[in-house]
Amino acid sequence: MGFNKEYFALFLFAFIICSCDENKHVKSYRLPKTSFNISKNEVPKDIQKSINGISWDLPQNWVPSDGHSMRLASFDVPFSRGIGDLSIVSLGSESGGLTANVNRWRKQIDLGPISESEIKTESIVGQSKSGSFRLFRLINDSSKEKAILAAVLPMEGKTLYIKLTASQQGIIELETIFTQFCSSIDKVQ
Amino acid sequence: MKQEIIKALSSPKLFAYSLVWLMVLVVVGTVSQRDIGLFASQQRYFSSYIFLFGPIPLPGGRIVLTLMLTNLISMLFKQNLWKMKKIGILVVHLGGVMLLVGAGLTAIFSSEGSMVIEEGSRSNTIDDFHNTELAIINISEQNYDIYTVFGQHLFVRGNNLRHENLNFDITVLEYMDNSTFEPISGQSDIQYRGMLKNISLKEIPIDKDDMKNRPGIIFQVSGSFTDSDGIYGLIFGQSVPATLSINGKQYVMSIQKKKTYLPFAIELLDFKKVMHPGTQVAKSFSSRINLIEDNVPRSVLIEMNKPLRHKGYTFFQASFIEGLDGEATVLAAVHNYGRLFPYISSIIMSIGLLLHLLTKLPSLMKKNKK
Repeated sequence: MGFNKEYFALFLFAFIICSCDENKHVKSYRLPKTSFNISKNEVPKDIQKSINGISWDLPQNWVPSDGHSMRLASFDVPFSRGIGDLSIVSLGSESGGLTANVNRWRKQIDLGPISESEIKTESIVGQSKSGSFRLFRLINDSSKEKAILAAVLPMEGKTLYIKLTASQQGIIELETIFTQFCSSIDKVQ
Repeated sequence: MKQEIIKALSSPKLFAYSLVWLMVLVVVGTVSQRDIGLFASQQRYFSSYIFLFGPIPLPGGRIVLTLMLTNLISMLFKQNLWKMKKIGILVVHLGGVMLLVGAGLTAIFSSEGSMVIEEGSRSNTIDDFHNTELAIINISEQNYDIYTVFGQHLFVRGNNLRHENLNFDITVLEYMDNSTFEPISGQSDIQYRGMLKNISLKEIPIDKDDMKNRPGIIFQVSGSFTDSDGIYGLIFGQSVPATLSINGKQYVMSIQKKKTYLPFAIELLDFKKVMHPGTQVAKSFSSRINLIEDNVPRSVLIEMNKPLRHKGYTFFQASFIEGLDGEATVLAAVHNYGRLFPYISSIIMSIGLLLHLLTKLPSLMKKNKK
């Protein structure tokens, strides 16, 4: 059988179609220097014991995660049926205010706004190494997948907003350890 | 023999049966989206060559479309088609071939991802929506970092990942499409390194929304003959990556969405959102950006139905992130090599149908006269 152009073209076409997949490639390239978070110890229990003049005792199985630049730190917080997202944001003492921020959190789980006096009534006061904080457990009964535990901790010249988002079950499971974490927050001398 | 093969491949019946099967796939794929999600359904029924229905292997979208393309191409080899009076049919077939070739290019080479830019900052990186990669970054050089990146398809249990840039071997032990952390139970003699010393990774069912899945990988580093040899684990979204220090070289390891680096950058100047009056529902959002190429900025406004098209990339206004101190825009970026094919092939097929009508017109008029 001689060389057949039609068969060869068909074979070539099929070969190209079946062999194209750039995901199989190993790539190598150079980029300008980037800052990786590696100055901190990579072992979770030692990671980020302090940052920007604030320290805390990090529970062993909390793992630092990607947040965004507005966050001081972010952690993945495992519980029995999933993983919660914890964020720590530091703002100037004037930013937003307690009512605005709590109502923003409430809106995130489809709860309506409440007044400042109601907010203070619904919160629990806890004690950290650098002063007292207000703890909020925000649960919407019609949305079991998303609930919030939050703490507001005023410090000198700034306020820390610590928020843990997880399912309702996760929030219930994690409340004690979350409170312990908030209680461990201190200023670094 | 040659004519017989062409006859079998170019049979209109083959095209008709393929079309019917394609309709079945569309129905099954659409219904299954509810249970397994859009991405998984697309992968299973349309982007696969073969899929399993219970124990029975059935042809997936790619094989059906390849068969249809082969059918149309084979049709072009039929001698009796190359006549002036059949020019309309010929052109319609060419249009069909072009449409399917365009679909093939889109399926194989196109990519889609997202670009998140905070107000005042810039980016030239697109993160793929679905595909992941393992990046081993040598950060020992003073002026640059050397990236060695392994694609997701290489993450097969037991597969060795090697590259001349690396003076150690990586063996994939487990890859998980969706994973989570699990507390360690008891002591282990296994030489875990990095975060696996304190916590382990476990696979969990894939979420219907692929964006919520967090791929994880467990792999062994060997051949460095240092304390760095051992078993490592990485999970997507880990901000503190695993590190290795081997023979004076320091490496960072990270599992990340497949990154595409653009030959230009986008800087977000201002993000605006307009709410429906009296509600908290966004009516529209837009991003005023600088498109920076060769250090020359050009101001562009990207709106919900007004994407930016540049160098084969299309940037759509997809979403936004609202923070306490500012906003960030989320642009969906699509690179589609076959973007123009549907338009061109539709025009060609329309011309073909018109030509067919014109060539048939004299005989139709004769019939009417009789």
